[in-house]
Amino acid sequence: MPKGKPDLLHGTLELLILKTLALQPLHGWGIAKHIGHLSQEVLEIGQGSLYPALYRLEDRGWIRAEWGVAETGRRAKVYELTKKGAKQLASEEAHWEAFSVAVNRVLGSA
Amino acid sequence: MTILKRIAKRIIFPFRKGRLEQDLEEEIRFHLEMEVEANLRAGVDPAEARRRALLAFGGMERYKTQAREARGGLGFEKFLQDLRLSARTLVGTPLFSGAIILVLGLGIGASTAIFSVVNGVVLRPLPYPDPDRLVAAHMTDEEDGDFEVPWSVPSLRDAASEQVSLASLTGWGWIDVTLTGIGDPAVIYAVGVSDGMLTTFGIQPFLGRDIRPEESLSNGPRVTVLTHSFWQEQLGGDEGVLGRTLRLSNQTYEVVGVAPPGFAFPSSAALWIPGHWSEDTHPRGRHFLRGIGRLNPGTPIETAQAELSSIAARLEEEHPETNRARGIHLVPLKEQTVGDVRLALLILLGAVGMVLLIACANVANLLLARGAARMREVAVRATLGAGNGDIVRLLMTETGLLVSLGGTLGVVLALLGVKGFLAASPGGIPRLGEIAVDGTSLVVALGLVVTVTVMVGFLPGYRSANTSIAAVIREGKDKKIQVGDRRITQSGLLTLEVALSLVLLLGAGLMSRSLIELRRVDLGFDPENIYQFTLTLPEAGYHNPELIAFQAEFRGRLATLPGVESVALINGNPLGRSHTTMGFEFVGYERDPEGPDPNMLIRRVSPGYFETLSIPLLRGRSFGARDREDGEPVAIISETAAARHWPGEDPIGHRFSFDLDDPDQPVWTIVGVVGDVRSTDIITATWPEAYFPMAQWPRSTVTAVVRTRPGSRAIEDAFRQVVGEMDSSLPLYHVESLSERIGDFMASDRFYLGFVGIFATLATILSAVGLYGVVAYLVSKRTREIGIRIALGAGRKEILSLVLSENVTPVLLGTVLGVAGALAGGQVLGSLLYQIRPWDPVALFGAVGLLVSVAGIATLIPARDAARIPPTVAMKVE
Repeated sequence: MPKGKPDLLHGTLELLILKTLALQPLHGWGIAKHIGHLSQEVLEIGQGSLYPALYRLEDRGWIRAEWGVAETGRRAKVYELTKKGAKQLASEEAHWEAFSVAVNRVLGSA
Repeated sequence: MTILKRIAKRIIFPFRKGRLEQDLEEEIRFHLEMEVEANLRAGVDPAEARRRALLAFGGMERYKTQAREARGGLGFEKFLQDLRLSARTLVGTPLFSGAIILVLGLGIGASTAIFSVVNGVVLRPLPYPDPDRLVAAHMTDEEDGDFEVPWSVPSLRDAASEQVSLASLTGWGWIDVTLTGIGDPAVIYAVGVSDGMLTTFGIQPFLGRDIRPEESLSNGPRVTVLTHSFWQEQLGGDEGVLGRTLRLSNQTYEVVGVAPPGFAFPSSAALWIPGHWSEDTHPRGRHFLRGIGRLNPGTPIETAQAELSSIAARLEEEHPETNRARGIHLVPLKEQTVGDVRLALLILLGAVGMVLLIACANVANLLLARGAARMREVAVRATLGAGNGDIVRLLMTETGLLVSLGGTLGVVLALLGVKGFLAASPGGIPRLGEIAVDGTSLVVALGLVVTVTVMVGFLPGYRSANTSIAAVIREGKDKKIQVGDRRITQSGLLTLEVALSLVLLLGAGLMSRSLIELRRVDLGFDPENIYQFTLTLPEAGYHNPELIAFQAEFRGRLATLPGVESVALINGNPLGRSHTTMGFEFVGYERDPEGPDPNMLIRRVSPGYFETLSIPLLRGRSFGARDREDGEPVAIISETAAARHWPGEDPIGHRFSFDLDDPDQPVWTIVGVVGDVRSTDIITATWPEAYFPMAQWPRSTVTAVVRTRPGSRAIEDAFRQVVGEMDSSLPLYHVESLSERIGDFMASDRFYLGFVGIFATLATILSAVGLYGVVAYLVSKRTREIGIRIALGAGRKEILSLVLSENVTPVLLGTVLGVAGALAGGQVLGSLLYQIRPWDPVALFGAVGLLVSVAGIATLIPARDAARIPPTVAMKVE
């Protein structure tokens, strides 16, 4: 990972994937690009770790995958959020909120 | 995804693997292509675009693996892979694998077999309905340390009718009867009962009904209930058997019932008949019945015991002359049945457990040693991306496979072992028929496999996995540390092996010492060259004069057989199956009221008895021809009887009677004193005994005791011929030599000694092999070092002491721990030993000496080999 770019906190990648898929179903590459764009290239996903995360989420039943056709006309595996995943996303978002507020407080007070 | 779906996914995973793998491949390709296209759009040339894409993706194979793992379902797949790999490794080292499987198979097999025996005999409840309600009831002699004594008929009847805490209380005694009218006349084991045996056990008859209590009174009808096996074997399972009659000892008995299959109590019973005892023939002082009862539902045994104790106290008050100091004692039937055997079997279980532990320690040591040899392999696996978990899992799978194979072998060995145990087992172990390698045993075997896998696999697995890769690759520099670390574990295991082996060796030593003592017991008679067999004349056909005449002629005919030196007849032979004690009253002698209860063991003998058995006559005279039916009633008593009942006096000329109120009972005059004999068994101290001339107190059942010239053969056929000539309807009991009979008494001691001996030998061999293996392994690891030492001028002595000194500690420590353990364990063994203390010095020094020598040799051989290594060879190693 290039220097100067923050390392992803453990578990955050999954949160980001879930959030991305909450907007629309997307293939792996698209997910990586989307996260990169939104974070203004600050969060560059170590792309190799993207797929393990996707497979893990699929195994847990939070997202499901289907082979579809990408914009370019190529066959691509497209992921979408499941109901269970949506619930998980809600709870993780809340969790993250609380967490970041707490961290900011600590940093602000120092 | 539900749990079920997830599990299903894991199981079908290996079969869908191809497709999933393709998906992964395709998805990654898609990603790369998208990346390349994006780079192209940004104006990079194609080759560079591809390079960047690959770079951005990172280590492709590594991520693929991570993706696969994240996909789930890999556990089972990995397990299969580990299994294949393990199988390959094990097949690759057949000697190593074979040795481990054999050692574990022996350990698990022996443990499972002994457990099956313990389970069948000790653990499982008795196979009757509500077995916890069954109790054995007997009387006690409170003056003689609460010694167990049988019931007398009147006491049993009183207790049975007065008590309310038992649903029933049945007395029973063996009655030897001759069955005629079905094939050859045969002696069968009939049980006289005071009440229905099936009723007491709460068992419904298979056919008909049970014996009723009123039928056992002296004028009761002659009826019988058959065991299922007697009905099948002797009567062919005749459906119309009810109402059929049997000729038993020339009396006609009507069959009224058949017991369900498998039920016989006592276990060798063929049929039950009402006792028909009267108080005249079986007075209150005559103790011969055993009792069995069934508690009322919900009544604890303590309540019943309290009630019967109060009944015993009342009987003592009402019949002070016969029931003085007579208690009544209840014991759970299972405890009564299993009794001493429980301890012996549990000791065997403990012993076999120790063997298993030693086997485990050995296998763990072997695996440790091999783990060291495989450090490079493990390091390579780790470099190629196997995590610590992967390595431990692989090693555990290997161990699990080994142990499972050992366990399978063990179950086969257990099946054989139990068969062997049953074949070798002496009489006296109850419930043998219930022993089997059953579901419980298999569960135990499985449990052993799992436990052993964890025990022997974890340590070496953990060690291997925690080996630093760098250390292995730089082998040499860090080796010393590694070896040193391993040494502590190995020494610990060796110490354990030595200690356990010593405990077993000492146990075996104590038991053999005890057996030797047992052989040295002075029986009070000379059993060499004595044959004995029992004959029962049907009482109906022989009244007293005929009986006496028949027996006299019988004795005369036997005496003329070639090879026979002398013959005597006795009723109640020493070491026989049944004994009768009777209370008596002194005549013309003021008994010390605080003195011991006046009773003696009764034996009726023909002239020549003491001479035939070489029992010394200490005082007075022996029985002779003049002690006929019409002669003066005379008796000879044993030394113990004289000392106990006529202390400080010459008993010759003293008189006693068994019932002064009965004018028909003779008053006996003591004419002689003979030496004591071991009468009931060879361990129990002597009883006070009284001998009477058979002509003056005839019995229909007599045992012929025949002293033959040494080397006389085929004497048995001659006996049969004599009996056949005199009365062809008479059956002959098994002819046995008295020495054999005495051997039978030691059979169970020999049997347990045999097993403990086998286990101790096994343990010692395993420990020796373990020591040898470890020392040899260490020596091989240090060959180079030893070579350098030799090259630098170290002599053979130095090398020897160098190698030995490192192994002295586990042996010495193990010996100390073993002795401590054995002394503690010896207390448990104590009650099985005869005249040997658990700290018997001969056994102790013997065991320690043997173990230390074996350990010494096992260490010395590889050490000596090390000292012989030529330095030129040693330096070239590695």
